Amino acid sequence: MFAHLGFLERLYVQTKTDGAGIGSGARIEFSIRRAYLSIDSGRAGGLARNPDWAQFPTSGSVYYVIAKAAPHAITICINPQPGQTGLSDLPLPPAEHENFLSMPAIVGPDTDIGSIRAELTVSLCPEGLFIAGDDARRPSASSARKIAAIVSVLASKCDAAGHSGLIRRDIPVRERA
Amino acid sequence: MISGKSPTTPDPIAEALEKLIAMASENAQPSFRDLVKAAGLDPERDFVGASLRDLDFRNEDLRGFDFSDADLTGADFRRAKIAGVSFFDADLTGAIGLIGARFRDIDVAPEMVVVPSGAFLMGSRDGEGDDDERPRHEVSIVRPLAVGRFAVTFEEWDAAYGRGGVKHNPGDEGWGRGRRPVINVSWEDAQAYVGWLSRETGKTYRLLSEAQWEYCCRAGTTTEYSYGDEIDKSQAQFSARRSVETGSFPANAWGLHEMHGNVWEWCQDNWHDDYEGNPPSDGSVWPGGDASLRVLRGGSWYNGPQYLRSAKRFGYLLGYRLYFVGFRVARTL
Repeated sequence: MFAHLGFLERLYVQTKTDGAGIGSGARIEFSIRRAYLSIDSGRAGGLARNPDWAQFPTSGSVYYVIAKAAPHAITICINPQPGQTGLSDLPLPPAEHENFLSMPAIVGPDTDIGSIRAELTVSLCPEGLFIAGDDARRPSASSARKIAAIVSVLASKCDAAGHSGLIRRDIPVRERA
Repeated sequence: MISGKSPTTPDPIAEALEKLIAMASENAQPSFRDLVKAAGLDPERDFVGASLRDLDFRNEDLRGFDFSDADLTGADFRRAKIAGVSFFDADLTGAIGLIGARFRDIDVAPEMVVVPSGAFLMGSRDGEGDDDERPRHEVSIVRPLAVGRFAVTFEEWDAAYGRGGVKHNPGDEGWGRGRRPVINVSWEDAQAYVGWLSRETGKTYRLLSEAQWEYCCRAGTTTEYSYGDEIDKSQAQFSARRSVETGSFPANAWGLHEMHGNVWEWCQDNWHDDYEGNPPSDGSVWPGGDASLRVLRGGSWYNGPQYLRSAKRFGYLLGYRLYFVGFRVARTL
C-alpha cells in the first residue's frame, strides 16, 4: 500500500483590517508539530507493517506505534527532522523506485481494498504572531508567544473531531490503476 | 493532505485572536490565565498535548492547568504557582524554574518540591557500607518528580483522619503532634494515606521507590551522607530520645529536609536482600523480593549515625507500627 503525504510548512490564522484602525491584521503562523497516519482494514491481520522501513535513514523521526483506540491498525508517528520544528513535504521515506510514494503498509491477500480506511491526525505548533503596521497594538514578545500558543490550541479545538485537541482528516484510499 | 489555506480558519478564531491582541495592548503583560479565559478555553482540559514551547510563565498563576503530554520545551516557570498542575509525560527539556519549585495541591496536603531528573550510583562500593548495599549500580531517574519537602507530619495525618481518609489514629508517645513527623504508622497505613490524598487532589500520590528515595537523599552527592562522609547533631536528629519537628535541620541541595534521621521512612518496594539480580535501572519499584517486608530508609532519632547513611537499607514487616518510623510522599508530575 502506497501513501503520499505532504505538509505545507505554514498554516495561518489572520484577522481582518479595514485600514481605518479597525482590526489589527494580525497573523499567526503554524507548522505541523507531529502527525499520525493510521491505516485500518477493520480486522486483525488485514494489513502488515513494511519490514523494509527499518532500513531507511529517517533519523528516528518516523516510526510505527500502536494506537490504543485501534490496536490492529498500522499507525505511524511522524515527527520533524532533527533541528526543525515542523513537518514539511514528503516526510515519509520513499518506496523503492518511487520518488513521491512511500509504502507504510503491506496489504494481505484476502483484504478487501474497499474496507481500508486511512486517517491523518496532526497537532499544531505556533511559529509566531505577526502584526503589520501600528506598533501601538503590538504585544510584547512574551505576550505574543502566549497568544500564539492559545490560538493554536483554539484552532485545534475548533477543528477537532474528538476530545484530544488534535486535527483529524480522512485520507482517500483508492486502488491503483 | 492538510490544506494550508484557511478552510481550517473559521472566523471565531480570528475574532478570538483580535480579542487577545486588544487585551495585550491594554495591559502590557496580561496573565496567561486571563488570556486563556478570554479565549474561552478550559485550563483543566484544553492544554493536554498543547505546544507551549519557550513560553514565559514567570510569576504566572498556573494552578489547576493540565499540561499532560504538552511540549513545554524551554518554558520558564520561575516563581510560577504550580499547585495542582499536571505535567504527566510533558516534554520539559530545557524548562527553567520548575526544579526546586514548591507547591501544595490542597491545604492539608504535604508541601512538595520538584526534584530534577538525572542519574546516580545506588548503593555502596566494595569495602564501604553493608553487604546488602551492593553491587553498586547506575540508576537513571528519567523524569522530574515531586517529593515531600518533609516527612508527613501529624497535622497532615490528623487532617486526613478528621476527614475520614484514614482510619488509624496513631499515638505521639506524648511528644506532641503538629509539625512532628507522624509515627506509629505501618506501610499499609501509609498506603491508605496516599490513596486518600490521590482521591482528594486528583493527582497520583505514592511512596517513593527505594531507588528514588536514595536519589533524593543523595541530591547529587556521592558521600556517605549528603553533608559529607560524617554527620553531626547540627545536621540531623539521631542518637536521641525522641523525634523533632520537621524542618528543624537544614535542607539538602534539592530542598528536602530530614532525609537523614528523625524517622525511618517507608518506601514502596518489597525487601530484597541485596542488589544482585536485576534491579530496575529507571528508578521504578523493584518487583519481587520478600513480600512480607518493605524497605525503610534514612535512619531515625533512635539510631546511631551509621544508620543514617544515604545507602543504608532496612526492611520491616509491612503491618507493623513503630515509634521511629514514618513516611514521605511523592507525586507524579
